Amino acid sequence: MKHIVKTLILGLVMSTLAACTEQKPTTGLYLLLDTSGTYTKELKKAQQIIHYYLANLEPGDSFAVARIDSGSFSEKDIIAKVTFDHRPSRANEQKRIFAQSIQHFIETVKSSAYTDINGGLLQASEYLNETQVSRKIVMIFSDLLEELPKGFKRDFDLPLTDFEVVALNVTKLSSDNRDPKLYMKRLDFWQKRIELSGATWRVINDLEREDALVL
Amino acid sequence: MPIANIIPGQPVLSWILVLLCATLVLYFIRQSAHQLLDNLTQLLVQNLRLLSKALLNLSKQMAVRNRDVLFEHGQQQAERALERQFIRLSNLVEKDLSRYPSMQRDIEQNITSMEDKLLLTSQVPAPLPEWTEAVESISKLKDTTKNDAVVGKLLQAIYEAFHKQQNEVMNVYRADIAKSHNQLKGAMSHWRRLHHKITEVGQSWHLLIQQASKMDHQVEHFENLVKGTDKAENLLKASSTTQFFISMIVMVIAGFGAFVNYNLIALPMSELMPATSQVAGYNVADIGAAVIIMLEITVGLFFMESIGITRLFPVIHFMEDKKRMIWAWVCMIFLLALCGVEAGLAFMRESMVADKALLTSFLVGGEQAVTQASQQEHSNIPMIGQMMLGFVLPLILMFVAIPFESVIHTGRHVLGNLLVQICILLSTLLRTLSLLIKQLNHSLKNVYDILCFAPIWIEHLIESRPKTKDHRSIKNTDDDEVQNKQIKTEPKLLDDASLDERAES
Repeated sequence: MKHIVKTLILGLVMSTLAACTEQKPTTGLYLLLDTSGTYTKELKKAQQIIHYYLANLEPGDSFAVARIDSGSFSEKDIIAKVTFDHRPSRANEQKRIFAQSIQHFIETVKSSAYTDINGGLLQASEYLNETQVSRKIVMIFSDLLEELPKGFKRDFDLPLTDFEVVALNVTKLSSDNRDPKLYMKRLDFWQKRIELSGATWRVINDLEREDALVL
Repeated sequence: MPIANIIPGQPVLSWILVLLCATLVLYFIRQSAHQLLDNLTQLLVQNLRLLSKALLNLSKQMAVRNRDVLFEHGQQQAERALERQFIRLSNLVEKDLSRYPSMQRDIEQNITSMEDKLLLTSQVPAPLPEWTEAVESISKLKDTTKNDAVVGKLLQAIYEAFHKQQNEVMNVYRADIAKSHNQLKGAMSHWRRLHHKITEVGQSWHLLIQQASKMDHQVEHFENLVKGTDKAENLLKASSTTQFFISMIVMVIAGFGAFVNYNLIALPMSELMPATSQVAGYNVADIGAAVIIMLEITVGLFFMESIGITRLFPVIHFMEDKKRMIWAWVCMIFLLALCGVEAGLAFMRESMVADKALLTSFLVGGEQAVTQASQQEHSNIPMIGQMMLGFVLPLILMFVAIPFESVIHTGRHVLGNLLVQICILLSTLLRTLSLLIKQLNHSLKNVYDILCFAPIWIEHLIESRPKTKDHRSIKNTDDDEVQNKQIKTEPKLLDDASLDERAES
């Protein structure tokens, strides 16, 4: 009888402890890199950003980098993805491999003819929802000028509820210089589209500001 | 409807009318209003006084309890001190007594040697010189010239013999004296040894007397504690408060030590425990590190208990000596194992920091930077220092058991005293509040009377008018009635004795 009582008490204590144990809030970061036209020249900056986040992400966090090309709603466009191991040493190793993959991509990247930002955002939402992270962040390293090939339809509502979308390094095109309204209109369009889908919107153009880049 | 329009077109009159009516209403309900204020005041004041008394009684009870606890603790301490003194005395006596037989033998030997030496130095009287008989014979010779020459020769011969013998005797005597001196010189060392031994005995006795006097002092202190004298109480209070604060300071220092230890092992613990899990908002790895430190302190506490330095756990304290020593060894082995674990974790920490630095170099400068960083010479001193710290800190934290015990024992009394003081302060505040409420009641009644002063003044005028006898008698009876009524209606505040009873109940 005593043994049964002891076992029950032990079980109760263990189950209470197990119930108290919860998962640490994790962050999922999905970075979309624009590879269209002349924007490929900006990718060195993107690499620095990637390295910055690699240094700051913690075990348990997820990180993926994907390219925006003519049809971005595809797993093939994901350059590197990882969910960091709970052991810091293993996570460091994963970060090294990740950085090498990015290095290889930047050295071998070829410009794409079109820019499918919506497809990339859809792919990002799919990936981040799968990883079941607490905080979902999508970063778009692009000039935000979408150009779709013929036959591609992107007039759907983006499933980005509770997402944070950050536009990085939104460069001004030569047409924007002639008519700045185009630039403002473009930014306004994306802000409305993102906010309508239930996400928050932020633009960071000065990549030197570390406080703005902090997650 | 605005007050100014009660009498249309006459705002002043309207206001006067309203004020008049209000004054009259106030005058008519004056008795009841005063009664209401009195009742409310009585309710509040009596409850406050009751609460104040209850707090005061509680503080008295707590003070008595504190005193008991203080004396109990003091007696325990005195018993321990007395026990220690007895052990010291016993050791001293045992040590001295074991030496006494050999010392006695030594002293006896020395005395015997000295006696022998003295016997050797005893002088034998020198034999009478033989020439005295010759001198006696010469003196008996007849006084003639024939004999003068013979006597002269004889005397010459005697003189020479005398000188010769004198010299011989003197030589023998000097040799004897020198021999005796040598013998006595040899006895001097025995004498010194004897003196040294006796001085040693004297010192031992002096130590014993000192110890006995200390014990007398302790016994006197213990007797005072048993009697519960004020002097003993004051001494205990002062000692207890001082000990509490000193122990607290040491505990705070130990807390900082534990914090350093925690930081040393928190990072590497994330390699051993899931870094992505949390309990109540804290990382499991961090909790694990804190648990290891707490385990070290606990094991240290048990070790100190088992070797008899602290007395927090009676179960360990009353164990058989052999079992207690086994327990102490087990604790020490566990503690050393934990020290080893900490040293390992410190080593792992250094490796992780180096790995992180390499990763940062790689992310900032690429492979080239990593190669450069790896080619640089690294000092092992930080790693060795961290490992040593990891090994030593748990052993140092073990000593926190002593101030911890002191805090536990003295904290009860110090906190108890603090609670007593708080109770007294609250009681005083409640008393003051009740007095304030009483005064407020008087003031409110006066303000009320000011508001309806006109009717009261008229009433006063009527009352102070000269009266006829009949009127007076009627008035008297009326006054009596009013007085009786007042006695009946006026709230009666409870006296202290009844409040005491209520508070105690």
